[in-house]
Amino acid sequence: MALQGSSITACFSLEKGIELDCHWVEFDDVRYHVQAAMKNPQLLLLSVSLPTPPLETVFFGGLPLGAIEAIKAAYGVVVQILDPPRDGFNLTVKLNLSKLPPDEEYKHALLVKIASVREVVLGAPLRVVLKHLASRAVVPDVNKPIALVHRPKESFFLVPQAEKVTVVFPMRFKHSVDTVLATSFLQVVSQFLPSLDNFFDLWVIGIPVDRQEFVEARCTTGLNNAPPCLWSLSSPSELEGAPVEASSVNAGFVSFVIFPRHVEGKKLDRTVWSLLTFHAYVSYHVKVRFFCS
Amino acid sequence: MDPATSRPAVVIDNGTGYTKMGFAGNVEPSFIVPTVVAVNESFVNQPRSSTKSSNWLAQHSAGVMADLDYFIGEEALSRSRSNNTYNLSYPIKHGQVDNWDAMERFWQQCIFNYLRCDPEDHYFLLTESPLTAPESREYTGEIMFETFNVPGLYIAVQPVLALAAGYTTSKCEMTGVVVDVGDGATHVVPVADGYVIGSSIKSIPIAGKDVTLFIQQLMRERGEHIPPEDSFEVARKVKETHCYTCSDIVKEFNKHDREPSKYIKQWRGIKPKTGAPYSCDIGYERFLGPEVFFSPEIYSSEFTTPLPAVIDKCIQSAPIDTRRALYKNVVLSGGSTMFKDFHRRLQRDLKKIVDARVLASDARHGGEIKAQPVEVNVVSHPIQRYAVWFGGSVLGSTPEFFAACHTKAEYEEYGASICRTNPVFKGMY
Repeated sequence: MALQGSSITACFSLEKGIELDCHWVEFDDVRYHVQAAMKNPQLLLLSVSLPTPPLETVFFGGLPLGAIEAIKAAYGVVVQILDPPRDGFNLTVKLNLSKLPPDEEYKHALLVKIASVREVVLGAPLRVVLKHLASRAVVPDVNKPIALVHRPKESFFLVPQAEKVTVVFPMRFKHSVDTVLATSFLQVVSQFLPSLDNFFDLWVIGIPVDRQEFVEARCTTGLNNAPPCLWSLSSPSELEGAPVEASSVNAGFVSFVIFPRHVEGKKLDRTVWSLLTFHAYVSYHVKVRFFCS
Repeated sequence: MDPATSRPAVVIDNGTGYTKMGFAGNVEPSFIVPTVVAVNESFVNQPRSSTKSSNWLAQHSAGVMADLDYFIGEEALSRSRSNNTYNLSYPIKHGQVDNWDAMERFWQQCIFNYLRCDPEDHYFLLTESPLTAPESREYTGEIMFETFNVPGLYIAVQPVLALAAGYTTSKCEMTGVVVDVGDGATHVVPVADGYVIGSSIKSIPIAGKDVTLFIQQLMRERGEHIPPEDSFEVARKVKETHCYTCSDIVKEFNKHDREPSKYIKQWRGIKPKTGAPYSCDIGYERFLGPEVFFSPEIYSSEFTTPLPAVIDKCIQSAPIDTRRALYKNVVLSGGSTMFKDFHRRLQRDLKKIVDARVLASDARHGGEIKAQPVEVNVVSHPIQRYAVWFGGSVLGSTPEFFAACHTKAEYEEYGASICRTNPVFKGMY
């Protein structure tokens, strides 16, 4: 998933140790630093720096709520969290490669999981809320939307209700051309493909977006199970109670309604990943459209 | 302050054969992928004509999606092999961008799918061959600023970066001849104090691809049983894994004949069509491949000047006060200089030419004046394959780099013409 996937696996596949000291930056200003030393080939230090959180989000010791537990749950014994983290980073973990499972397939899955560490950390609070939804547990009464950071100084909002969670993304773009393209893109998407999952799938595999074909696609692939998606220029009613800065946008608001069926079992991981990378996904399409037009 | 300057710059070195990309400040590129794009052509042409009835929006979207249906690098190669709806296109030919559409797609995938970064967040360092036309540099700038919205761009000249790769705090040598042998182009470029001596650049029509073609031809002529659709790929693999430079062809032939078991290697493969395994011998082509640089007459009848002679000619045409320094620092770069002992052979042959000249001039003066011996030094370093990228990484991590970039504001004020000239060509000469 994430960029260092390639390099980490490259490092693992080498039997003998190599000297490694690499810095990376991913979209949304997530930074990585990977370090490995020759004399200790079984150990790898991975530091992650997260986007600067806006005021309304709750951060706990430099990490989103529940992140530590999420890391422990996801990686088990392979990972040890160092406290305090490296200078300039939010999280530093020590990977012990000797504790990787021997089974190749399982090992690969775990490596992919390590490579997508941003999802584990940033998605921790989102996962907690969605898990509550899946188990249909009674949500502690929240009268204000929960803010989660996903870009530097920007957050998206969760509104947990009985039997559903509404996720609202305020969309902002720096460049005026991007804003126009994004607005038209989101309008088309919410009109033709009123769900996250299928527009994700359709755009990626390249099925023509035609109303007729869409209806057929709906029937054949069962996409009508996907979460409904809405786009509006003005702040949706769910956002009442959120700070004023949150509603200053230039490309409208996108909201998804997540029902328990979207987060059952294995679907949870996919939903979390799709939601967390939503903004990057839209901005990628904006760039592609610019190129095509 | 611009927040983008606090993030590492993105360094992309687009070569004819491979593209090296990564972030400045690292010692290795994050990815090295073949410079190739596979586009699904069937999709591009079909929907526009057939869907007359549907509205413009659907048509437009279909067009957009057709444009999205492409792959780059290894993925492109495997797609085109398994599925014949994808057409391969190589955006760079002989070191120059040939297909701008494909190039733009290639960059797009590099940035979004491989490096996975937002181009608006990073300064970019791209590279170009020393013979790139100003128009193509402008075009690169236009794509980068318009499509990708980059905050700043620097287009560096490949040989200068290769020289900068050897740059350390103890030794800051920015004078030397860069012998850049890539897959599609070979250039010999003299650089003095960081400035390219443009008038003395020599270029040779023999490069990595020709070595591959020559090996392919040798194997075919010997009658090795390689499936024809695979033979180019096999020849490339043979070149990359088994080739070396010999000191003398005749001796090397003798060595092979005396001890075939030691020198002849085996190649094992699987026929792509039938799946049947096959094997073949790899013999003389192991040293004859790289020999095309030193005795080009065995490969082509049009170009017959050996590489050492071209280097010598290049230095001789440079200003006289730089020549000694240039002989002292001949730097290799590019994947096709990776053959074992390539630098030794080059050094020996170049030294021979220089010594002969010194001897001749001594003889002309009848022994009255003795010329000071000329030091010849061919430098090779372990990172030769991506020396240009590494040089870019070094340059991109210096604080001066951001000031040297063309910025988005400058582009908006003056247009693409800011990329037209490169200061390293405006040297003293």
